[in-house]
Amino acid sequence: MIEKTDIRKLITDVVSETTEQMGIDFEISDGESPLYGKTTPINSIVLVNIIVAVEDELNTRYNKSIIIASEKAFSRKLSPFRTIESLVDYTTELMQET
Amino acid sequence: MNIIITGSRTGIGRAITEEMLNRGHSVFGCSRGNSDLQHPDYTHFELDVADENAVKQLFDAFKRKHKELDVLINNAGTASMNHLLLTPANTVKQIFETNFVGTFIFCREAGKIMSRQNHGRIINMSSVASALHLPGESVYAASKAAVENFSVTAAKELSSFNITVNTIGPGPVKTALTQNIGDEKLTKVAEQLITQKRTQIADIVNIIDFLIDEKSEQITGQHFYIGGV
Repeated sequence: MIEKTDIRKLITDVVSETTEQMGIDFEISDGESPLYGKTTPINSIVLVNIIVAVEDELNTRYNKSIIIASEKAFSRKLSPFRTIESLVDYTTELMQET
Repeated sequence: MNIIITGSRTGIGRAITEEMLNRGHSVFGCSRGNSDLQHPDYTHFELDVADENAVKQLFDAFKRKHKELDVLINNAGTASMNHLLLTPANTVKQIFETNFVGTFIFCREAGKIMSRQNHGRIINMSSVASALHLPGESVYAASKAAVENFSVTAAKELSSFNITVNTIGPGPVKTALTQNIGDEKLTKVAEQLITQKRTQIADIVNIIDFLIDEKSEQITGQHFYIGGV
């Protein structure tokens, strides 16, 4: 059973590493900090990098292949990409379904 | 280099695969059927290129074996030569599934690996049929036109990751795909090209060599029609 805390740690690490590698000034204060939107420096290209890296890390660590950016994600009333925590919730849900 | 080639069991894909292996590259290939190609640097997957889960499994296996993906060649394709008035809608769906959806899925999965390594070359096989608007090939040509249009936009979206995307449109080549077309018809198609010659495998390999060359990092979003249209 993959714990939500493990996924939170994985996503937080990926976001930190990716933004640092791409030279983006982005500090994660808590899980409810906005991730993708008008008030953050994370644009669509950075978000693509984050999603690809999260999918890759999940595959490497847990041997599970999931697609985060799917129709399901984009059709939600509340975007799973709005905060770290919403991405953690959504990813946990996908991992449990797989 | 580490290369993925779709439709590698027969025809152009098989010939390209053998050429790449001869050059010392490592190739992951796939097709709907089993391959008799035996080579220490060749791995074959039996799958339908439009089957998203099967394709993901291929990429998972690729990542377990290789750290980097240098080149993707989307070659898998199917054709149905028929007058549009006699073409069932299911045939249209099948052709688009293989020729376009398959190409899209492979581009997406390869793009994920290539974006992380910050380099990569994607070559999508098109056809002169797209530019020549050949009667009897409306659906096949439309599917290849979709591949061409998609490739240019993909080139723009992937450019910031140093990934190039180009298409190669061969003229008539005698393969399994064209086995039901007579020699006379293939010659007639060739006569519509600037060179009026049939395409040889060497012509296709020549462009692949150019596109995967280190110096071709600025060549992207282009269509290369062999023989000229």
